[in-house]
Amino acid sequence: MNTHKIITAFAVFALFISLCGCTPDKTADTESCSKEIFAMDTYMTVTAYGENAEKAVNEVLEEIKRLDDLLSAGNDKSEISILNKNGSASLSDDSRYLYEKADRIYRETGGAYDITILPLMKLWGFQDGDPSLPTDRDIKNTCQLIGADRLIYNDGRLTLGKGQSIDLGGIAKGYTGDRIMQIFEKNNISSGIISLGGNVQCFGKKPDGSLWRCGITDPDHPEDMSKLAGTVSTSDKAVITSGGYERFFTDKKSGRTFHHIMDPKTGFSADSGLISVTIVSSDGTLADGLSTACFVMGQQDSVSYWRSHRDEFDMILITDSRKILVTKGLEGVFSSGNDFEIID
Amino acid sequence: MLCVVKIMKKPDIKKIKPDVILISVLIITGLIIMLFVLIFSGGGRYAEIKSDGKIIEKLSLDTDTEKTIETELGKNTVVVENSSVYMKDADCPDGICKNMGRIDKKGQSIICLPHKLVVVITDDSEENTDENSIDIIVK
Repeated sequence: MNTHKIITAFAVFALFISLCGCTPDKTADTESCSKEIFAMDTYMTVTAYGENAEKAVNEVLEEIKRLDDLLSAGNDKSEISILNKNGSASLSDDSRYLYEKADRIYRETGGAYDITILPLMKLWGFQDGDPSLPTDRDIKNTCQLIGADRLIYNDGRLTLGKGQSIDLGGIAKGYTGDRIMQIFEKNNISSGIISLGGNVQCFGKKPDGSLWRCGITDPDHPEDMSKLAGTVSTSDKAVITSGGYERFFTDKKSGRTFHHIMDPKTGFSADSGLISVTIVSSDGTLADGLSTACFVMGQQDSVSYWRSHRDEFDMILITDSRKILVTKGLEGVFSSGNDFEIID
Repeated sequence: MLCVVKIMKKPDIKKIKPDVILISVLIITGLIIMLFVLIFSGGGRYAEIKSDGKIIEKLSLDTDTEKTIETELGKNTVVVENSSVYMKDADCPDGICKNMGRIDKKGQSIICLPHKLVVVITDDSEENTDENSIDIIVK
């Protein structure tokens, strides 16, 4: 036997092994695809794992563009803009679903979430990105246009009250998330996760079988990922947060800070004692609408609403005194470096 | 091992030489490749600059640099300094990206919506993929 050949073979083998070890491919056994898109005035990332990952993600991007064109109140050609212009329109299936969901949240939360808030958002300048404090008189006058109870919905046709205009932006991203989950399912995706401008929705579990770990932004340090308010481990759920830190401005004269989540009743930024509301639900559209509604309602009303709908969602509330309240369904899956209280 | 030593004691010099050369060449090649892999992909943090979803620059946080990105949407100047990244300048209408401060941790990002530009920190090193790492941030 030629021992030199054996030694040589061993050296070649060792070299091969050393090279393999340097570039581990963690996703070698699953196909994955991750793409991003700027749409709905925000930045979105879509990741899917599975044989049809790329096909599914491409379909998702098309669906996002379709819904953006259909629902955006800022796009003159959208269905919603045309409805706002004409005062009445027969709704498409997507808008119909969204309107019915919005109407349900409006009624169940005592008007805390109201799609007729658009004139107020425009008055404050939160619609075009250059906000400023309006006069009390203007706020009072604009408030008279607000009220989803004045909308008439009949046989799929929606008619607005005089001077009214609607914006489905408060639930459109949540709905888009739900549609994406349907596309993932249709394409047999094994696991997936999306962030639609910070609205997170996960499909299945992680490729390794563990739960997705979603970090909840600390309202005091919204840009610092090392200072999170906590984390939620979950699967097949939307995790959506509303916080006053997302969009705000400080009025130079009074020194007061105003954020973009308006209280339809006062016409001013909601001041309910909550600084962040996170909703965890398998229904992304509901989660999106409720995060706003609960932020406006405050702790007490949000908790009592949850008690009568606890099979549909869970939530994490952060108060202005930095107390963290977590509903029972998240016990064991929510963790935080700070103390938190479980609500039952 | 003993066996190898025993065999090595009575070799035919002429026969061994090409083998020794071959083994040495293989080992040296291996070492050089490993060194390259370690330097160029074996970890460290990077600032990936993406324009409309496509990576257009990848800057190591180990080297201080300043890069101006010009697209048809506008101009942004990204600075890497002391292992962190910030948006030094931008001619976008809202200027929000300039106020997003410094980022230095994996997954953190600076987003300029009007210019469809994203700067995101990536980390190739394995020690950062522990079980407790966060998959996504809810905002």
